[in-house]
Amino acid sequence: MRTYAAIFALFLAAAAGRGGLRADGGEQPGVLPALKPEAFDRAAAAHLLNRAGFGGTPEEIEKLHALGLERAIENLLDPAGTDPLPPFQPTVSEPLDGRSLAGLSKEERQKKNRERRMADQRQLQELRAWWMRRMTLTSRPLEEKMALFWHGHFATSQREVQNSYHMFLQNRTLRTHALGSFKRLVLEIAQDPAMLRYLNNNRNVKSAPNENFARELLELFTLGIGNYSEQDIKEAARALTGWTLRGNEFFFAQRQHDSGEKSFLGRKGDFDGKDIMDIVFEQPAAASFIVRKLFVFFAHDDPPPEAIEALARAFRSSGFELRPVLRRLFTSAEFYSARSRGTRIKSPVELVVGTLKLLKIDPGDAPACAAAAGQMGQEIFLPPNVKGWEGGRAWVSTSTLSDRYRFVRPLLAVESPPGRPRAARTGEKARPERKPTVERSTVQKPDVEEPSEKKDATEKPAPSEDENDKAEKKKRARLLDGAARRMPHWDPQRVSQEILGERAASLRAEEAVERAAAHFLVVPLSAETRGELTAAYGKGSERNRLAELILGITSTPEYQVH
Amino acid sequence: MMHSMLDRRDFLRLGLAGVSVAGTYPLFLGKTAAAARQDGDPDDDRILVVLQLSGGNDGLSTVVPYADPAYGRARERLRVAEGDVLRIDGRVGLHPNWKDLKKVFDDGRMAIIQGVSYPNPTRSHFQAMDIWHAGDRDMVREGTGWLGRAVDSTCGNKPDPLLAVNLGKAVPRALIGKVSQPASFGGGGGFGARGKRDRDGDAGDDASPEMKASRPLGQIDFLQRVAIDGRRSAAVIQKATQSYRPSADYPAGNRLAADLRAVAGLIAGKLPTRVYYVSLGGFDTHANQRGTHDNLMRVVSTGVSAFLADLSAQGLLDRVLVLAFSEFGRRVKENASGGTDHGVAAPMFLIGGKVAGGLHGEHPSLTELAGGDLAMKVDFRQVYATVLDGWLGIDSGKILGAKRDPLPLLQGKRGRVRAF
Repeated sequence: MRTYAAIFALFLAAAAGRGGLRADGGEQPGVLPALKPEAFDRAAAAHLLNRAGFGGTPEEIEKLHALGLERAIENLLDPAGTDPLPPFQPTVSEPLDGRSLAGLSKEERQKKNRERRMADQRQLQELRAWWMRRMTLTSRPLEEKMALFWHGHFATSQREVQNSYHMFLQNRTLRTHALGSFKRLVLEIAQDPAMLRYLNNNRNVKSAPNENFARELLELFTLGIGNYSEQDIKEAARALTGWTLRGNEFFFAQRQHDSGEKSFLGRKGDFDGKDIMDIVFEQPAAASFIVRKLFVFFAHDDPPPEAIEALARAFRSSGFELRPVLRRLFTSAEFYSARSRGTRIKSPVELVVGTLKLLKIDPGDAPACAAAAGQMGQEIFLPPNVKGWEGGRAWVSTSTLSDRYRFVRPLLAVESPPGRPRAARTGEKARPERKPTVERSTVQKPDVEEPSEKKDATEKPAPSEDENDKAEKKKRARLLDGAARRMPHWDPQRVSQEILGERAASLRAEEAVERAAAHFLVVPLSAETRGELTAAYGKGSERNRLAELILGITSTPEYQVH
Repeated sequence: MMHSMLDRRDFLRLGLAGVSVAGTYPLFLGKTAAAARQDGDPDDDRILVVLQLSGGNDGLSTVVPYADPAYGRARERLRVAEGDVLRIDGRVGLHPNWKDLKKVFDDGRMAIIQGVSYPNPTRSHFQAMDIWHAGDRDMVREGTGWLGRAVDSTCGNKPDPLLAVNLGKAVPRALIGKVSQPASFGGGGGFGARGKRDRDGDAGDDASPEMKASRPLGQIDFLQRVAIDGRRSAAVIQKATQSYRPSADYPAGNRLAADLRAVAGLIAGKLPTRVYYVSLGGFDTHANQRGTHDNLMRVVSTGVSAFLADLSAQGLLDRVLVLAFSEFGRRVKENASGGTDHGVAAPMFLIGGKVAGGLHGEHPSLTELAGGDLAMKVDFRQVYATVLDGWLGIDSGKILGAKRDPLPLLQGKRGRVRAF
């Protein structure tokens, strides 16, 4: 019976999917009206690319705009061809088992374990760098954005998992199912090695059930608080007993499974984990919970109830397929409304990746970019807890705002004033021969960032931060080889061309500022800041005035939102 | 125009041009806050340091009911051996790694409130933490926190962001008010850390949820505000912590100790701050609890006692009150993974120079449980009220939405803790 329903749902989804602007599953269009196609202007295309992806240069935005609303969205939901970027190649995957340790002395075993741990940490750094690069360069931005969303939703941390290969496997699973069936994704995650360990379901056995995963499955992953009872959690935990891992794979330990009758959300039966999930998806909350989260992630944090209802209905009638819901969302007028534009604070990953894209920087395998996002409060593969990242204004404190303002500096290889270690732990300095040095002007201009000549006692860096930086650097140096320590750097000529155009040298200050603002911002620059930047550009030397302008524009409140 | 340019560039050079930024620091703000308090008011210089233990600290392993046979039965693998417990009386004692805090207790500087919780408790980390932060379940939706509202009430429309300082990146909801927002710095030992990061001292991540409060400000205004607050606070804080030489030895490789050392520096630096918020994570011990929890106990004990010794040596201890709490305790019966699951009632701690030291309230019964958990003896809102009224001199009724009977936890206040 279930298979027929599934096939029918697929048919419905396919039929609706071809509709594009036509409401899915027979919805009344009035409830969540679509944007009029002619309203899809450059700004709307930029908004779509910023939210559904990681933004792009004016050229990339124009390409999307030229497709028109419908095709632009299809392009994001179902990008043609495969991504040219290579998949991650794990080198450390097999667990250290008894055999490889047999016959060794205690010291030798300890040494092997230590080496293994270090190799594992190194691989995690590589994985982080790989993902940041992928997000920056991919031709499938919505897929990566959704993978990032799922990473925050099914939050799992290396801190507890202690296995970078499993973190890689989970990331791959999230990407594979990023835009597909949510039901399928939930099942995959329930059987995912990293998750099994993170929420201890690998220890959930008949004789002593462990509720950790069952609780979060209901509370955080599918239904939300208020839609189940503590007893339901207990029963779900029983149904999930025996779901564990062996090596790098899911393994069902039959003998550890409680096959007795359970009472779950009003249903009775000898349920196993899959049954529990089926019952979960029968609940009304199953559609609205995720849909609401998606709305808040992509649009704004005050969704109109009718919008959630419409999206939830679409989600359910499509059999919990994600593409139809996202299509509906990205087509809706609400998504492009004033409430949605320029009102979302970029997450650290979005901020870093977006900036790399705007500066046309390929981060390569440098760990610095992931580290920068981590410094600002979002360490990928290391979410603070199973709820992931709160987002929104929680990204901004006096501490993180200063990091957000300063992280662009090393990308532009602007010389730090002497006596102070690298600002924020965004990575090591670029090697001298590659760095375009900033001219050390002796003119006393407070608006140009330059090494101060003053002997000021307070200029000495806090000794504690110095020690911290040193400890961090040593740790990183131990883990990485020389190649990975490279700092990604910009190509000033290319960026100048991109932002200022051919006649960059002869541009008036006002025009240069205007172009930079158009390149980097989605909200208008405040008059005060515009004035400051114009004055600074007019007085700066040709060599470093673009860098200063970019630094100036990216260290504004306006640059924090999209 | 020049003035603001200076501000922004200097903000980018955080910590460098201390002089110029400090020069623009509006001293009047600090004075306004001082003017709000009466001269000679004993509450004038009182400071509250909140220590949040995130994840659900196992109260039974902290304040151990070693003499109760039910304890040994419930905690076959996890029990703290009777010989190891640091005895307080014939019934309970402290975790063996709390040697230093036991001395603090013996000196009469620690009040242990037993069996703390609230009606209809939740076992969700996030809901529970929200309730503790908001100060009341009904206030959760509203978006502000008990200390944020407290700061609001003392400073009218122009709150000094330095009245509440958070050691950490994200802002805990407890400090968010309708008007006020705290200054946030460092945290996790990153501010004033000494020595290399010791893996053993790495007690795990902060599991506390940070709620975004609903605010009337638009995003740009909000960001501007944080930027300005940051600029103003940064120089002051940097200066205070850079030049600080503590009067006690803080344990190396201990992130909590490093944070408390920074707090001591700010207190000694005579900041107008009245509330500090420090967090330590890693308490959610569903598996392999023994090693993790023992370590956390050591981190807390050595860190907090060093902080107290430092303050005491400078004659500051009488002005400081440390409030330590966790969002819930853990279940009585251990699970099969060598750990424990989320529970309910647990002890709360008030530590400082003016505390009415000793054990307060009754230890919850280990046999007459509520849904498998320790039953509540004391409502945490009463502890909050005691701190607000009795220590900070702020009307708790307004802050917590209801008048609550205070508890005799502070010196000079009489009465008994009547258990629930």
